[in-house]
Amino acid sequence: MNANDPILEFRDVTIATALRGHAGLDQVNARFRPGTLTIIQVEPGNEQLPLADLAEGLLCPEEGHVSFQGEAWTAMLPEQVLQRRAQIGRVFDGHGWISNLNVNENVTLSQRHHTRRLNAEILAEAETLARAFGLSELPKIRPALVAHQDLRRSEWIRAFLGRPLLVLLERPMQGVPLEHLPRLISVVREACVQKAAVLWLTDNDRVERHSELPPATRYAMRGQTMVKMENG
Amino acid sequence: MTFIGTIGQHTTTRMRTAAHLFAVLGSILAQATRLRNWPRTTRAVFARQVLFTGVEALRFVSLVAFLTGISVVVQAQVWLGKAGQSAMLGSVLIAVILREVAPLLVNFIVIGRSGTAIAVELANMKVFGEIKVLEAQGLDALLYLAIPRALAFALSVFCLTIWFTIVAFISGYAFGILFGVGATDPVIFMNTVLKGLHPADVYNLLAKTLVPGLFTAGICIMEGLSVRHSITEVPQAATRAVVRSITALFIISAIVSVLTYI
Repeated sequence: MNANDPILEFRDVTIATALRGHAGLDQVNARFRPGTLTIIQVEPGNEQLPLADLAEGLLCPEEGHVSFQGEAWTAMLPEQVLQRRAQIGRVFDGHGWISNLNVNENVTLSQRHHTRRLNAEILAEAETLARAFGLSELPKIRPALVAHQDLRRSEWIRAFLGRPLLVLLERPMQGVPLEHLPRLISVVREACVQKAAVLWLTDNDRVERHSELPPATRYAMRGQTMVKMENG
Repeated sequence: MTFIGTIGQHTTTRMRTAAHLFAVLGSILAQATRLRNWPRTTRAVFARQVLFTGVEALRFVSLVAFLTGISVVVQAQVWLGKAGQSAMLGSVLIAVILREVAPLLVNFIVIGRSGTAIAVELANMKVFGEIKVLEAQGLDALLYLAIPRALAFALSVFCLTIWFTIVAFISGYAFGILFGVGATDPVIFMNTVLKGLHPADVYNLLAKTLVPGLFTAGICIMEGLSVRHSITEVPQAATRAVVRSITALFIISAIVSVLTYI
């Protein structure tokens, strides 16, 4: 795989079934290259898209295919699938926590599971990201006991921890005051510099038009179709 | 559908469930032997499960063993003494406590305390999308959730059964002295019990603790993960897990007894 080859590619992806409230997609084509930010504006009433699940191979499209690092998810062995997913960071649209683990354990779970990095090293990186996102420290209690905006920002930490190749941000500003947006943008910018592909789904115009956002490819959802915007 | 057809359909469903259970347990055992399936996160789940299922159950198991010791060991001492068969005390105690009562009661306790907890925990994880959260991070639910829990169950049941037996014998002996029945010398009592112990009892103990422990875990994991989208399915899954675990326990216990001693 060349350095500029897409990390993630949707080719003619169609998924019609409305799975658990997800909207469908029709003939979606998009490439997400290293070091790029892609912003997808979602429509009111159709906020929950299966894009992130498809991007991680958690859902199979009914037509077309989704490739990660040049290989279709459906063509990979189960162990390869798990290894590749370990290289993806994600902020979930909805519940994104394991209830019986503390937030710090949740945040560092993937790194502790997939890598041989020392716990102290992983925690130090997480604490650095916590400070970058305006948290005094990583919460060390159960997710149910943490204030919503702190929990959301902890999810940002998890998404960027361990320098993932692909970052999927599903409406990451949900429940977070806009004053924290520049902090997220700053880390997104840094991730792009480090050659990650960032896919940002938003339903908020103020997020999409923020002056500090790095150059981005922009799409908008129109029903089940993803339309590339002219300024993108 | 005819009456016979209904019975057939019911039987087929049961057989399919049993085949699924054996497949899950086979996968768990096969995958557990691979060292790379034991990263630190999985080891942590194993340690936590041993703590919850084994260590935290010690107090309750001790209480039940203590009371069982009083009723069973003291009665055995009294009646065997009256019948002039005190020499058989060891054999009778081993047959009653070690072979049957201890494994059964400990398995019951583990099913009640931890089996239901696992079924409810995993069912809630499924309903709230937490299994997806794990998979999205590249964690295999079988490797991360099932393997450590199943092995921790088996190990805990085995250790708790040994503990149960020791406590039951000690309490029985102590109350025997208190009521003025049986041997007063602990060495004589211990020798009588040890004389009743045969190599087959060791295999019996292993089979009646490790196997039901694994089956209980497998059943509770399967039932927990069988829940789909609704929170109302959670208590149903827990009930099914308990009923099926107890059924499996009695079937395994009977089969092991027959194979070991007949």
